[in-house]
Amino acid sequence: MIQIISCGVYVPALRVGSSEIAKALGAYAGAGIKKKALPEVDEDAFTMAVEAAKEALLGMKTLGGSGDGSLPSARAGGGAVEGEPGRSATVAGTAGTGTSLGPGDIDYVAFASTSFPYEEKSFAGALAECLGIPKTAFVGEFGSSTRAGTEALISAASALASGAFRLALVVVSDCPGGGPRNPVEQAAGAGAVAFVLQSGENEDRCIFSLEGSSTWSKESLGIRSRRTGFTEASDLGIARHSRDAFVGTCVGAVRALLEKERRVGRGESEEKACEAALSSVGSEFRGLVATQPDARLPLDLGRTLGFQDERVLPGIVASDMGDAGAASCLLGLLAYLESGSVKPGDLLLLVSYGSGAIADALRVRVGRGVDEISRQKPLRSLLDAGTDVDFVTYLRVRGWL
Amino acid sequence: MGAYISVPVWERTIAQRYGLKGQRCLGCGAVLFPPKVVCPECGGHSFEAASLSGRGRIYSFTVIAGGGAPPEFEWQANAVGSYVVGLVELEEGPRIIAQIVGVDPRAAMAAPLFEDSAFEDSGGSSGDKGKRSLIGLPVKAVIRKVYEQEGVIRYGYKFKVVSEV
Repeated sequence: MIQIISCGVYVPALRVGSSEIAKALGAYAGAGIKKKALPEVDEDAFTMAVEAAKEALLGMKTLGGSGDGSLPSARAGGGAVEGEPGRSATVAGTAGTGTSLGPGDIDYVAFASTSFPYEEKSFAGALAECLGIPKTAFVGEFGSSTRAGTEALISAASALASGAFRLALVVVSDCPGGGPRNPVEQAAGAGAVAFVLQSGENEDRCIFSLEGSSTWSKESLGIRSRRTGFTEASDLGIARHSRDAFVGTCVGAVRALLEKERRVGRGESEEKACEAALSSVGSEFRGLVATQPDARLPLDLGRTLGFQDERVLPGIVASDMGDAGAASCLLGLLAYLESGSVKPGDLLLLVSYGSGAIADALRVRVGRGVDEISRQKPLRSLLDAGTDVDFVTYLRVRGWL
Repeated sequence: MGAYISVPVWERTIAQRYGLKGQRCLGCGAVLFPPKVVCPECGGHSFEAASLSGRGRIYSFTVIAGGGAPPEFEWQANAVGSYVVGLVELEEGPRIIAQIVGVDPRAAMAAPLFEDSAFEDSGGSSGDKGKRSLIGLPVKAVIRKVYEQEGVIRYGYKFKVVSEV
């Protein structure tokens, strides 16, 4: 079972209200977005990733000494390595084979974003240096669409399931944007989320586990795109086309997920079985979390799949932080877990969408660690702590004035 | 003319800039950051590696107003007007200079210099709460973009006020 045992989150402190933008430009394109997070002038997808990842690694430390020794091949012996605090140390004196995990135990890193600071230059070395992760860890970077976040998550889960890796860090950080006159810019928010994953059976430390995923793709420009050499993403601006690409691709992935898990009954046509499964998806899953180019599309998807709005709303973060690109659905998942509306054992349907168009659907089982998350509410406290800035400050921070 | 640091020279200091890697003097035990050739405390020159936690307190600070920014920080001054630079005393002892992020420079200047109270975190609401001195407040190291040179983004540590150490 692939378990998420620790998570970290980061949202920049500045907020721009949609009313500020609407007042200045006379229009606002982000449906349902009340305000969006604005990175400081010295922040980017990399710096935000480091902040979220540090939190996740810190959270991992507190897991130590619980005496479960759930890491497949727990490191034996050895005290704290002086001058190398990132390295894990076996907790001495506790019963069993209790281990405290540290950055030094991570051997698989997946970093996802649609807004890496460089088009060509990996951030593996920078992450390792900032986080104390061994330079020998495998690192993969995922970009090219807002689906990159789940792409990273699925890759890490597969790597762990193969048995070739022990402990994975997935960091998804994004700050999409366009130019001052670009409609894509109006909804563009920012945020980062990081997860530590392992393959294990111990339920106590598990925040959620991944029970399967499916992908579905088709050729479609979808919502937004950015050609090589361009700094601004552009969108066709045809709402109907965007909605159809989003909902259609996502439903494709959900159908594929159900198809995978339900054997087609005797005498039943495959298509019919699938339709039947799709009609019951709303009863199988407690709620739906999806990629959030705005705060309305996930609700549209929910209605198509048979989820009432109140089972989608706990996972909507775009309303408070704008479009966090590749990170939006994973931040949404965290928001859902924090909301107090799920309990251990519940199933959530996580759907991620990216232009191209591709969608991933993941089966997420809520674990016992959710109680701690819903008590601490790390994301909600960041969202509530924002400082509102006016339109002029926003332009200056973006470097346009 | 600002400080010019070529990429090869910069890269030799990456471990301290990204990971706060310092050293401990084997003679007197003093923790040094950034790493030095000779220990300023005892004159010793044998060291072992020591990572710093990144936690500390603001020992002193100043505000760099737009016109006073060195050339490599002009981009930042142009965007935000002025910014706060602090002298941070790290938990392990060393005092280092770095920017303090997430605080309003005007509020920092308006506050009495020495008042023993906790500053509202970067996300805090404005108003009277902002009228508290930065001095003595607990901070943690974060990675931010420092500046660009030779077309290369130079990342490094800055400090952020936290509510608890």
